[in-house]
Amino acid sequence: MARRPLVVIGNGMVGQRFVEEFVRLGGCDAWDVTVIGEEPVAAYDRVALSSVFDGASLDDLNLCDAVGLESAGVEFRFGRRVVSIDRVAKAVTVDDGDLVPYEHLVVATGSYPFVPPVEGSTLPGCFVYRTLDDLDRIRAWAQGRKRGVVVGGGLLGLEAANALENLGLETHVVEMADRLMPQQLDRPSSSMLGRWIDELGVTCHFEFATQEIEGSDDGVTGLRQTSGEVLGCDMVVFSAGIRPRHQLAESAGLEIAPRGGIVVDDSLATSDPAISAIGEVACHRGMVYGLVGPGYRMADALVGRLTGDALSEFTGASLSTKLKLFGVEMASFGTGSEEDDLVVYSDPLSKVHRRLTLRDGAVVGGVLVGDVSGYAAFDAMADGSMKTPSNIAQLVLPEGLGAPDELEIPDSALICSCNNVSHGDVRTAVAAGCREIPSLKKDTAVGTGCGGCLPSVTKLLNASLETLGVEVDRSLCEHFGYTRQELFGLIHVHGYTTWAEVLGAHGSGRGCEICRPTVASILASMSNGHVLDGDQGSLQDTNDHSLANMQSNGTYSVVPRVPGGEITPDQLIAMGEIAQDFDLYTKITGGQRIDLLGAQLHELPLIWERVIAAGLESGHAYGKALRTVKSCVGSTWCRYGVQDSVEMAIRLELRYRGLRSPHKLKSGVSGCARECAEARSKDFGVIATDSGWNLYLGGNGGREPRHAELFATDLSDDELIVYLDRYLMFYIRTADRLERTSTWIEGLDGGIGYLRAVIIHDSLGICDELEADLARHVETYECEWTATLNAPERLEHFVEFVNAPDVNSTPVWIRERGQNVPA
Amino acid sequence: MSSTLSEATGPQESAARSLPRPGGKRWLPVCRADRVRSDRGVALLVHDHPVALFGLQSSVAGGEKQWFAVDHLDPVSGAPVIARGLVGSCGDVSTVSSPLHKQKYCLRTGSCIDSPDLKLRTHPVRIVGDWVEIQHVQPLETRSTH
Repeated sequence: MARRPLVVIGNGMVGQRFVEEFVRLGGCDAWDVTVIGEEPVAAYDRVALSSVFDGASLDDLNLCDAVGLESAGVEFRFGRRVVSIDRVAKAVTVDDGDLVPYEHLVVATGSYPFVPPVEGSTLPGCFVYRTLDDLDRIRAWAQGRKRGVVVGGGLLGLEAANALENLGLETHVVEMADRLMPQQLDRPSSSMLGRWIDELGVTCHFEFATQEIEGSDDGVTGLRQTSGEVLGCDMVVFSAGIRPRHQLAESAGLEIAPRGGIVVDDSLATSDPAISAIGEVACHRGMVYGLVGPGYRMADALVGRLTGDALSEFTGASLSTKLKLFGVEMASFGTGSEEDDLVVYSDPLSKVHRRLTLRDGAVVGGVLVGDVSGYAAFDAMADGSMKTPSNIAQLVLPEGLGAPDELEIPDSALICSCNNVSHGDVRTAVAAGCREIPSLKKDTAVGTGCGGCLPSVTKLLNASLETLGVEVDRSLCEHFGYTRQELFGLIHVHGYTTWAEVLGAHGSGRGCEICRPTVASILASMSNGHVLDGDQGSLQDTNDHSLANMQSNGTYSVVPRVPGGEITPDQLIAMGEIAQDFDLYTKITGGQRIDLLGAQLHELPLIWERVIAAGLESGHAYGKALRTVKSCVGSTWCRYGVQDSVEMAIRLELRYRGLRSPHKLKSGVSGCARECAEARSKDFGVIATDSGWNLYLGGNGGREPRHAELFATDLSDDELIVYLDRYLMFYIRTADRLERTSTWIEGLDGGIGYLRAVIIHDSLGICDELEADLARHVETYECEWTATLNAPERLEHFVEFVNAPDVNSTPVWIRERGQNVPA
Repeated sequence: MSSTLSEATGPQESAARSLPRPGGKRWLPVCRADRVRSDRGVALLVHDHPVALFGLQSSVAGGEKQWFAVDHLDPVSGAPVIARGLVGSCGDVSTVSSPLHKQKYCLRTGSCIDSPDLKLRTHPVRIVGDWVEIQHVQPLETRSTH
């Protein structure tokens, strides 16, 4: 039987959801689907749009597996706009002149950003904040500009302000109302949010009525208020609300709501039964939803109806939101009126404001700023799926002061509104075998939308595991009942300098290959002297044990430090001669230095003596420590280079050499955007700009390669170093054993945004300490091999057989390409 | 492994004076006890045979160390590395981990905790005065050392 044509206008998040679900439930068996999308790219996560300024790429945000869906029979037309709907002929006209017939039409055209009708709103330097193209233009204009103003202090306005902050502009927000987020927050909670935002350097102006945007063809120069006062700036981003794009429907004669939006009923049908509408363009029971969760519910309901479930309907959606912006957590849920009772907790010092609205003793709504613990429970109470407990007044207290960790939230309560995942869904998945977040994401799709629910999901996961009797033990090993971070804290606070103290006070047994090197690393990060001295010598893992990398046949490698990859001809010759004299295999490493392999234990001091005489020092290739800071030749030689990348790489390598860390640290400095030093695949990567350095964090190669994320732009030399000092020490203090910077940043609640808060804005108040710890490392640094050669008691370690010092093993070698290799 | 024995340190003279029977058990003094740091192995030769020696820290302050000696050659690869491994405990059992791939061996019995078919030979150790002595089987051909 021939398939009937179904046309979808719009490939935004909701349109895409519709197509995906439709295909998944077999819609393509009976229907031929054509999707016509105006944007030149396939559907992307518009909710996460701001992450583009954190370094996210189009790929990262992409939501549409166009290839996969095409093979299921869907036709995509990107970059094409539908210009009219002919309801009589039942066809749509596309801007390329094509006529596409339909038997059913789905309108998912979304919204357009509202720009206040003031003079000057189209001057160069004025932007809206909605599409990827908008963001590209914003980023381009921001280069070299000083001050940006966001018009509109709502949710999207604050996101835009965050983006401008990250682009390095002095950022202002102007808002007509008397407070931020006037839709979601009342005055006290908005004022508390304002305190957070003040701290981050954004200036807010309230009751600001823009009369005109001033400027010329060269660009915007300021905003003039109705009072006559002018706020000077060189960039304006309008974020003053969104309006449904219902023009197509209106021209076609469909019913439009008085305040905008295509009117739909519970089955998502418009006034024409052959046409449905979903997402931000639809008006359902008088509501136009600007959130993606309700849009997804509409898409799911429509898919249900079109695939044969006549009862599938949408009866409305919750407006509850929980989000994190500028590092501040906020949530709002339910309803409230002036007659209702309020229970409020407000602390201006910690900037926490929590308000619950009660009616007849039951929670009906509320707002949380700064501490959102209990959100899921309160939301469940507000929508009636959970009874309000009698101690509700105590529950308004923030975490740790009274709010219990886990209220028993009913299975039916939602935990992830983006994907409609309930508490029950997660509990079922855990019972079926999911033990960590990645498998929960895979099985239930929880946390795969905006990701804001993940902290709650983690709590629920742990609680469910406990209920099931599965132990959640994050101890380091059987000898220490602490995480690495906790152990670091203990050692730091008590100032331990020996294994005996640490084991005696906090451990048991004799330790093991897990905790001994972990304690060794922590002590070393706290500048505890030579790693072979005292009882530290018994903690060192395979390579640190002999300050050399052990190879498969028990011989060792020697890797001198070559800072920034720069080496003199004399040093090259010396390395060559050393390799010849000791018959060592030589190879160039990925870290831009030279590896000499095949040395025996007793030869190591002799080889290092020669290396040090040649002016080189330990490269710490044997440690979980800073390895190298690679460089390209930079502005010194390269016709494209804009900064001296070699000089900066050397500077960084000499500062952080020898710093031990939870996992090895690798870095690179590139002299221009061509990035020849591959800095973006490093734990910290630096790329030169015309005005300074861009800093990227959290990249790595290895089994799971990651690209570093953009952390800060156009830094001066000094700023770069301060941020790196803090970053490295913060990582050392808080990461898990063998945790790479990438996973560590991902695991921080708030990711790189949180890292900015801690490092740039000192939100934890520890930056002085972090810098002091790093300074101590720099002051006390000494090349480990030089120090070994200078101390007979350290040289004792480099005798193979203590009762036969002149006797040594003789490894068997074969020749390969002119060099010795293990047989 | 081939090597030539040269003059070794220690009181070999007393060992030679006893004129051992070939095949009998002897105690060979190998090094001073204070040459061996707590919890960090040293390697030594017992008549051409590489042995790893460990003196484990006492759990009592100032108490006697606990001594163990096992083969120095890694059972999996044959590389002479066991003395370079991390000591520890697994439950009540004192252990050493091979530095190459971390197989864990019981220092008392030599059996591998991770893999029952792997085993390190063990050698009895005793302290006489300031010296560590390791028991060995007198080789059938003895070279005179004085």
